[in-house]
Amino acid sequence: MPKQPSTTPPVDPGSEDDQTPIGAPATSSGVEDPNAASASLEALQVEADQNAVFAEAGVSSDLLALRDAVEATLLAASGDLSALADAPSTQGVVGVGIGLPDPDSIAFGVGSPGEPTLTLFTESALPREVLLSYLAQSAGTRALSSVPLQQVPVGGVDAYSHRARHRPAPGGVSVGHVNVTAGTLGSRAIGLTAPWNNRHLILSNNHVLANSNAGRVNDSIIQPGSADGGRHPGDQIAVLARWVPINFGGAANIVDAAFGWAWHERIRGSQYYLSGGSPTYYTTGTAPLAASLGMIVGKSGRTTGLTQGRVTQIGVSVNVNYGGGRVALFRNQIAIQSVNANPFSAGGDSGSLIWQWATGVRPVGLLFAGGGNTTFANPIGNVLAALDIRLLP
Amino acid sequence: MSDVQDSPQDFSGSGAVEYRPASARSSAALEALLAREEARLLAILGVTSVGIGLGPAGTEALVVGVVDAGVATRLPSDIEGVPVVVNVSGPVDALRRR
Repeated sequence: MPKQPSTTPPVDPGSEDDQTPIGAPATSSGVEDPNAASASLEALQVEADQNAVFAEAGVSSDLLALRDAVEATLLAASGDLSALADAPSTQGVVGVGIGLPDPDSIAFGVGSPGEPTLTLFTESALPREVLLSYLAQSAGTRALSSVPLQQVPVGGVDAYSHRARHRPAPGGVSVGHVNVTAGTLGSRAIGLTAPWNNRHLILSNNHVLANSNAGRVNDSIIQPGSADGGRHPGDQIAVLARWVPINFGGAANIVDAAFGWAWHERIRGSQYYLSGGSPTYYTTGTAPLAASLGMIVGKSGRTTGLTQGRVTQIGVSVNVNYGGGRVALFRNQIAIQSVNANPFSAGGDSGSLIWQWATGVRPVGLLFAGGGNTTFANPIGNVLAALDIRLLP
Repeated sequence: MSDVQDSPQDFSGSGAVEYRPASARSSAALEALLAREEARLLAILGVTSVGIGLGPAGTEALVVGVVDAGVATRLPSDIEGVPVVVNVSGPVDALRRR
């Protein structure tokens, strides 16, 4: 049966979803949401795949069990990370994962370099005793002193941050496919043709939402991204829906773009940034504007926040590294440099919407790559055409 | 009435979509020059990008991105009279969080 926006009742996520903040169904919107049950089934497969990867990497079952115990504690405390600071049982721990020791993190225990390590994401650096006490509380008594453990302070998640959990999630904040570290939510969007013209979408890069071609339809997309402590299913905001494949080592690419199909009440159209430490929102325009040399532009991104830049090149052909030795050639790109001493972008800003720094705030590009002082973006008109969408700021 | 909760969701039109516009460029002379020279310039070791920017005199130029300043010695100072400007950007990476 064809879906009619005006008559189709909204399909809201099922009751198993524990984070739906609003009890009342969104009867007035008529916007169709993803199916929570099927999304979760898909996510279970993702989780199984992840565990297979862990097994191959030599992650012990003890470590996995400990991770699961901590995760259960976190989920039990609340589905809402922003509330965790008030829950004494979590003691400032906001997330858990398994990873390799990270030079930016604070390592404890007997882990050797390259050894899989239990990672606790914390609001601020905590003493080892506090973390061990937290683990003992979550998992009962184990040989805790032998657990390779590191903590990654991700900042106060209830303090205002581009890396925090936001509901509804605006543009400019951390997001990612469950198997991606983190990128930036570019903007809310909506499809131009059925059934996507009745669904709220989130725009970002293929390498953020579709894991550089490795993602599959209905994969989970979380806010914040996993590097910022986001977990499935508690932090899911969307499912992967459409992406433009990146061609590695072959024909030239035009865009690195994808969209996820979001639960409409979990996202919002506006863009987020911090103004003197206070959360501030603004709304971009919708009509794409072609970049021209010297144009002053801005963006709000997960890592460097709100920054201002100048278009220094257009029509750029650029070879971009995607890790693992994969290089992709992009043509007709926009190059931007900061107008001041601070960088225009850094790792984690991928997916940010770039707009003209002028009245109208018209969209110009989709940030996806950078090197040194130069940031590269896809022309937004190409992005919207490729995905058959328009922005819904 | 069908059971809405159990019916499969309509994912028609989802998945990978190819994007191959007929022409990704306008026809400006400099863009034509760039299109002709792109392959040759990108083949030079240490060159990451080539685009249209502004030269020191404020006129349009070819801007060549390089991984380090040493690469500049392998580049011409102009191509068909269009100045070549070197931009040392280092390697260019996709900007997900490292």
